[in-house]
Amino acid sequence: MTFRRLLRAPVLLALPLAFVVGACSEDLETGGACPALCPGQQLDIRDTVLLPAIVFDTTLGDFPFRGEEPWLLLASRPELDVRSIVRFDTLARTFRPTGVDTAEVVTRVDSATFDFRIQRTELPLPETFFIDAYDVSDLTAPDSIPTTLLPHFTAARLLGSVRIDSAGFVDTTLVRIQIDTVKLLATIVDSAKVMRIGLQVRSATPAQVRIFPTTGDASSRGPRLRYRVSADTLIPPALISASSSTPSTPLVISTFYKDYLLIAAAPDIRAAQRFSVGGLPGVRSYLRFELPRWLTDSSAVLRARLELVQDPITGLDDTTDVTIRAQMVLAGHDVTDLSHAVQLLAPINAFVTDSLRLAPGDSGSRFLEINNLVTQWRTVDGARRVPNALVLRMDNEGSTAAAARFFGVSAAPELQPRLRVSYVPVTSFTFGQP
Amino acid sequence: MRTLLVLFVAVMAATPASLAAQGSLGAQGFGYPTGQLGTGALGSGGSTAEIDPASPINPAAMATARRFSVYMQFEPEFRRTSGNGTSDRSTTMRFPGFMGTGSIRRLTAGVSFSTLLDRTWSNTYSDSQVVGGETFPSSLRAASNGAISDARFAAAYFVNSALQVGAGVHAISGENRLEFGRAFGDSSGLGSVGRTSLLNYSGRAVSVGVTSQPLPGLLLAASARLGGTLRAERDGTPIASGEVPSRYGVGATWIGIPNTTLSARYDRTAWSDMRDMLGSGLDNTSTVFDATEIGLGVEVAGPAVFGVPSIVRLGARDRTLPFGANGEQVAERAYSGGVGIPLARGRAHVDLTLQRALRNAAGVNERSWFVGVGLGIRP
Repeated sequence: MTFRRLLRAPVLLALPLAFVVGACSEDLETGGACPALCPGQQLDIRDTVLLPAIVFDTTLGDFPFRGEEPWLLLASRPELDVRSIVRFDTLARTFRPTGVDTAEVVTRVDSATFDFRIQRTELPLPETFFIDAYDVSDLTAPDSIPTTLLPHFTAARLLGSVRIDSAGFVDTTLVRIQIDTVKLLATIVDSAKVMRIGLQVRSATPAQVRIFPTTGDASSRGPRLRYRVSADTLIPPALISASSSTPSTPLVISTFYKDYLLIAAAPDIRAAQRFSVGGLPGVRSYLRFELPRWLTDSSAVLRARLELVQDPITGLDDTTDVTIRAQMVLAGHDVTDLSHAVQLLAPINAFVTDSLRLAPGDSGSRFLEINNLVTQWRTVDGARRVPNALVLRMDNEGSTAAAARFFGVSAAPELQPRLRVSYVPVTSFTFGQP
Repeated sequence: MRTLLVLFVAVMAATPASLAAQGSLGAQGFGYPTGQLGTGALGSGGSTAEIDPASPINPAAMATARRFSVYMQFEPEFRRTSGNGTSDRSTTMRFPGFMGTGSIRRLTAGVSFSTLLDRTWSNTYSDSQVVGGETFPSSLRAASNGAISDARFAAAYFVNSALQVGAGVHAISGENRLEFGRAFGDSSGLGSVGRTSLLNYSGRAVSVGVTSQPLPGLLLAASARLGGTLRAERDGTPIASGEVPSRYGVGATWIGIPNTTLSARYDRTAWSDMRDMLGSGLDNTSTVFDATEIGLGVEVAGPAVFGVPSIVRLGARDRTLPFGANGEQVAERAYSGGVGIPLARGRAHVDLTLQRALRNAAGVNERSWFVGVGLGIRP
């Protein structure tokens, strides 16, 4: 009996131990023996080329819209003449003398300068070059046709010039042009007048610089007009930022016209049977796809590679690398005006993270991964929510003459865009059925 | 000797939980066959399953439980799978059986729910995939949750002390919640593939059984299950049909030695009845085999607990599993031990079992600990 009693303790001990074991959490994760012991987990990946995948292409300009350029540009090159306009529609026409409460009308001006910051571009600068500032004020000229200002770049309207030694700066430098105070004062004293300055670069050899534009923030390094209105040194000089009062309609658009590009001459990069991206003025390509529903609706798309054949553009900046990005068109079927459709885009990198990096003078095949975009083009209730289209656009759009051109849908079959897809048909998913 | 046995059980139960699952030998195909053994029968190597009222194998065995009773089980598996130079540990929690019986005179009827095939596993691993002619690194996750269960309604008739007969009808049902995803690195620019689906199963079967004591001290039992149609649907769409695997088994128990019971059992299950349900996977490695099971075991009277003798069990079990690994049938050998502890003056009892299972196939070996806890109540 004693022996049996001794045995009871371990027998009963087994009970709480069993509960301890039972309290362990489940951990199902394995995989070390895979794929050997994991049948049915391989994918039935199929590859095919869709030709034509694109049923429509076109090139649309001018982008960005006037005044929305990321940079202002001055260029004086064969085939390319780009100038910039900076508006000062609001000037300091009164000042408050020292110790006087009432403001007085400006009747004299001195030490007038036009200040702006320039930056080098990919194009080497000549040793010396000039930037000329002209008074291009003309309230009768239509804002929508800036080229009507070109006749105002005359010696009679010259406000000032500056000679710049390119060895004097590495990347950027502040440029200060002494402004003709007589002409400036004539504008200030007449409240009906505005001061709009046209800038032009001048050099014996090709020259090109960027100008920091006016931005909305306080740290803007945009152009400014500076002048003294009194001999009293206690009165600070007037410091005028760019502003525009026209056009009055539509609302707010005048704010974009504070400064903008004026393209006097640029090569036309468009060509028949091709679509183009970039250049001056900037253009975008609109490509519309027609994809089978078995791909968009009934397959998991692993890869969708848009294959383009580049057509070289020789001449301006043909060896400068440029980046081209694709954006999904969000404009619905109701937006039939494609110039509007190419503006209603998903954010950059939203669905296409890949980009094309190329030189305009190159040729050959170019590849762009758009599989996430294709995934977005599936039908909903049997209908496509948006046209299956993308837009190709260039980084620094509107501030570089570099451009790229590709063969379009009307080109010879071997040159046409094609879509190479790798996909897994949903019907091939047999996972789960051993 | 008994002390050693009890200590053996206790120490093994106290071993820190190792962790065990497809990616394993046991969970191939439609899943792991738990054996439909009660915890007590598991402790004696399955040798007593034909006469164990808690094992939903032989409907005639219920005739010996001539009172209202319920029995429930908990049976986690701690598994280690070694192969390809790696080793994985995982833990699968199972509640493989529940049974309730009641008697009217010589007739005992009962309903039971038991796991026929447990298909619960998850694996995540990296490999490479060829897309558009290029090879990319890829990560894959696949998981299954669920089981095919056997719901049985059975009745047993106590003809006399030498003969009991029984019959049952089975409703086979279950579901597998499946998840599959393959992803590629961000730098590849490739899309991912993912899908979840639900497999449902439905089928029916009938079973018959007999237990007999032809000679004093010798118990014989036999049972058979005849499978009907088994259907599978994926997300509500029929995808395959086969048959519920038929089986038969015989068992013999010698009780001629006082306080000692020696048992042996043979069982054969025609899992190939499910062959038509196998899909045509790309790798086409899913294979199904008929399975044979042999169990040997001994039960001895243990120390009295609250005045009622406990039972100490030891057993060995050798069987093959139905679903092959890389076309090779998986063999499983298991050694088990356990105790049956009476409670509440015999109105309840707890079965504790520890089983060590060893599986080998396709160059992979697997080691599992099963901890079985069964609770029977006879109010």
